[in-house]
Amino acid sequence: MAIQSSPFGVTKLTKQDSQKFRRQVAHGRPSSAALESLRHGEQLLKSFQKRGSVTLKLKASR
Amino acid sequence: MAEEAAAQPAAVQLREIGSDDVVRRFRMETLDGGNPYLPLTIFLQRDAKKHNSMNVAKTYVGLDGQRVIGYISISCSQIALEAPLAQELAGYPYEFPAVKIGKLAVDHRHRKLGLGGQLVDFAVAIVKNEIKPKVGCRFIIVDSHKSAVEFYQKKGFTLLDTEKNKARPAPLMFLDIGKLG
Repeated sequence: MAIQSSPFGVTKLTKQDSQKFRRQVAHGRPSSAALESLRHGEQLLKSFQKRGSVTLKLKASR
Repeated sequence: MAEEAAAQPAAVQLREIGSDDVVRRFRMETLDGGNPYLPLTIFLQRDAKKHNSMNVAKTYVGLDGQRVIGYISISCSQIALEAPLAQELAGYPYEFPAVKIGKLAVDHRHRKLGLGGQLVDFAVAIVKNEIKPKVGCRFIIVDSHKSAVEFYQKKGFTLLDTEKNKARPAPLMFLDIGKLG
């Protein structure tokens, strides 16, 4: 088996999966989506650190 | 089966799961032929509080009043690669510490409101700003349900691009925290 994983455990990659993972990591660059996710998360985390909770605004339902 | 109409909150409180949080009304949709999301409901209703108090997995919930309408559970994990002997002898790491998104779910009556995405954003910030600076941690990983692959890609996660992985019911995706600065 080339990928072994469990919900809260170790993920093991072998053979082509392992090689591909290395290549994707070596050549990967952070996407604008990842940076935007982090930027928003940091805003939430800042409030969370002060109060132990944070209010999330939700989109209006359609 | 008739189902209660859910009023949509304009905002929810995000915090660590608490013992008084109402989890029994959490629902995921049933599809023809079964309920593929049942494990997510069972985890919240049976395991999440216990795992949280035992520090097995930390669960952060989106609360409408006291009622949980979405949650994310994260825990320490590891991604272990097969190491060619030469790399192993050269000391090149082949076991990488990671945080795993073990569970992520939003009550189906409260979908499309942006809650799941904000839970992921929050988890990314925890790992990048609180864990990585103090404890070695390189990746966030998730075994994504196939229907959620695009969702995670919109959050910057990368799908391990092999045929075997893409054929799995829950393909592995990862976010390289080490490159987020």
